[in-house]
Amino acid sequence: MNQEVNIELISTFSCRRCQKAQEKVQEMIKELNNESVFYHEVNVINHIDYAVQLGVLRTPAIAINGKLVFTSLPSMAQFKKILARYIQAE
Amino acid sequence: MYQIGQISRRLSLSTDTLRYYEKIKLLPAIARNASGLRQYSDSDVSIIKFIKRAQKMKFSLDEIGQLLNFRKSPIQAQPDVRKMAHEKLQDISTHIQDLTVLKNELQLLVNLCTGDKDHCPILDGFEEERD
Repeated sequence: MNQEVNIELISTFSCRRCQKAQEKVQEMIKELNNESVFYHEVNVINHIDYAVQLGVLRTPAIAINGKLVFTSLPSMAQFKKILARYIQAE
Repeated sequence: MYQIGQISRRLSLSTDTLRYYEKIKLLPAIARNASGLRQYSDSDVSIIKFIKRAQKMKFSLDEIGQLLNFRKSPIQAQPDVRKMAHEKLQDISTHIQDLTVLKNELQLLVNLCTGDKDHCPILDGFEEERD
């Protein structure tokens, strides 16, 4: 049985790249069609301590299971490859 | 060798402060030239820089005096001085960690603001909280 994989998109209210990233990441997750993958949005302004703790220096960024994994928007292939590792590792 | 005025300008300390450090023996007796004017050596400058750094870290002059003795002869230092130096080392490490977090936080905020030409998320965030 697959374990939960939590994907967090770290973004800000108004950056255009973040909006694009939100759409793209949700699209990629939908495409994966895996019920154990969960998507969350983390706004830097409201959760700056958490973002700094993760090591985020720019937005958008993507954390998986509480670890900073992508510091820019990945391609679908990269996203799938990394995610597969997390799903297998769990 | 450097004259007191040169040191004062270079290290942004008043000449009175420099003379005071010597008076309370934080600095050794400074060499004098034939006219009786103080001549600071590189070693004196190094001590003054150490004092400045320690003061920035909020160490008292008394503590700085002890640290300077420790700096002079670390092997022969008394256990209580070693203990104090160790405690100060831990304070500095904590301070560095705090500063690193603050640096990263400010770096993130600066990157956010310069990353978007139309908006500053910091201000937008504040505005949103106010609404």
